[in-house]
Amino acid sequence: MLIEPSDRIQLLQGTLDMLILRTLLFGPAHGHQIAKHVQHTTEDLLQIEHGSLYPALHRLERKGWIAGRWQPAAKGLTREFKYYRLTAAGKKQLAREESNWKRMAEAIARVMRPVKEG
Amino acid sequence: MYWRRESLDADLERELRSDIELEAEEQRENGLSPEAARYTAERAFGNTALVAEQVREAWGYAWISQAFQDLRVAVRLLGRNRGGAPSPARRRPGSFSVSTSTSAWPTVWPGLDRHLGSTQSSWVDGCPVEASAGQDLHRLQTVLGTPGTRQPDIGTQSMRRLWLGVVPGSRARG
Repeated sequence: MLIEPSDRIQLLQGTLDMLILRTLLFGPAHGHQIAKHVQHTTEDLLQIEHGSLYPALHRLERKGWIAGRWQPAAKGLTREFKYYRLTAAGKKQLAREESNWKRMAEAIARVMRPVKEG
Repeated sequence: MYWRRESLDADLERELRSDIELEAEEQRENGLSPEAARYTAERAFGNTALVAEQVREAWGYAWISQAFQDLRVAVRLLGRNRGGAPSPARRRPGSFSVSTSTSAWPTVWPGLDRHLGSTQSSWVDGCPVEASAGQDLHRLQTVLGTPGTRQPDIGTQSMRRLWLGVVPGSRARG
């Protein structure tokens, strides 16, 4: 199903970092692949703006949670892309962010669907 | 630090370019012509200069770019104003004057008031009448923020000390 741009939902503050780290858990990827992965996985509901993606990637790299390296897209090809991979510190950060996210989702769910008394 | 920034800038440009090319390639595979594919890819990426600026902020180097920009404007302003103040005869009615309050110029630039004199450049609807000096004054004013106020978060320390006073009305101070 094609999602109209107006139907797309805004990412919650701070969730972009988590989505990037989670995507990189599958293996190294370049910026374009990360954006496409999130878009396809969410069936076009989430579309990461490039204006948000690249600053986030460089911020995460600066924090040492991901590491970027230029390498060819495939063996035998000369064309290179900047592939990011998750570092050990990034894996720990992802675990922390996932834990926070679950707590947040549960807290919101309690407000939205309160348990009926009696 | 400067060379590192240059290297990071080049790296970022290469990264954005390679990803735009890949996007264009995908658009071509979807049946678009090479020109349309390139256009669509560039549109998808939006303003790459802005993206680059946002990345620089993430690096923490954005203040260097701002400081260089401030310095360039200040140097040009000094250079163009050596000839003295623009003639009052060239002012137009309905303009307002940007005056430099020499007493408020920073002590870190001794002699700056001498270069500027009691400069009063004329403006019409925000456009300089005295093109050279006026334009740079306008730029400097833009960099410094609202005239007559101090902006705490822009430029270098020395630039922060600058102060510009705007006197509305057609008559400049004599």
